Amino acid sequence: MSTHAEHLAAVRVLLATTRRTVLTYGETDLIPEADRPTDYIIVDLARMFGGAEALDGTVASTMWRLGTLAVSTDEDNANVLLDDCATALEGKTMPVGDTETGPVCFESAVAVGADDGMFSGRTDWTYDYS
Amino acid sequence: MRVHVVGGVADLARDLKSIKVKARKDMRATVRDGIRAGNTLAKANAERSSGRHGKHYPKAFRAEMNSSLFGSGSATISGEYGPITGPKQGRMSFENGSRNQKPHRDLARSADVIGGSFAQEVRALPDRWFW
Repeated sequence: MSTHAEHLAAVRVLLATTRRTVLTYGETDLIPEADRPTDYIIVDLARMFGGAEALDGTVASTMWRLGTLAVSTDEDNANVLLDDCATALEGKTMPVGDTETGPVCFESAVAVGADDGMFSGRTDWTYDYS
Repeated sequence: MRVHVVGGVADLARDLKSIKVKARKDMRATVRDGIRAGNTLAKANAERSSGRHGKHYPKAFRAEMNSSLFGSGSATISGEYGPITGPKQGRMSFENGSRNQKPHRDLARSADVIGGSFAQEVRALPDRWFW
């Protein structure tokens, strides 16, 4: 059994290679609008399904969905941030607890567009954890 | 053990002729059932997640079949579900969120549930045609 905090920490390690500010939605809310960075990435992470225990004691692997929202004051830069996220995440595995996750796989994307006075674009990823 | 077979090649030929007609109808019905089930789940998710500011949003959810495409040796039968833009709040960006609002993923989470059973229904189709 692994915790959300362990998974989020592993995601942060991968995203650290982007050298961008990485925030959760909760952390973003705590920063006044005027003090927010001009470029940042918001991550959200939730378990999708899995983890059921079979009669023989084996446990089905769990799937996790990871969202990366690239936010910038500049439209082109938001796209660069999305590319940076892809470079950092796609196909990578992460150590969580005693084991390694499956590779991070692309699920879907939303093109960069205007977002409340800035620009943002989203890519969602999934990975499994046994 | 003895196996007693009733029927022959002529029956198989007759089956194959009727399957050609039946298959299209059955495949459309399976897709239609799938999107209806998905829409029910997604709408229920939206009712839980949309809150006071999005109270009209779940009412915008619909399941609709698309036109089937046949040709070039293949066929595509498709349908879709989710909020449509006409009704009140149908354009709300709840699904993918924004920089100030976390994504609700009502549709994605419904697909997580329905995906496996829909695939199973599709796999079961040929068995039903032959037996």
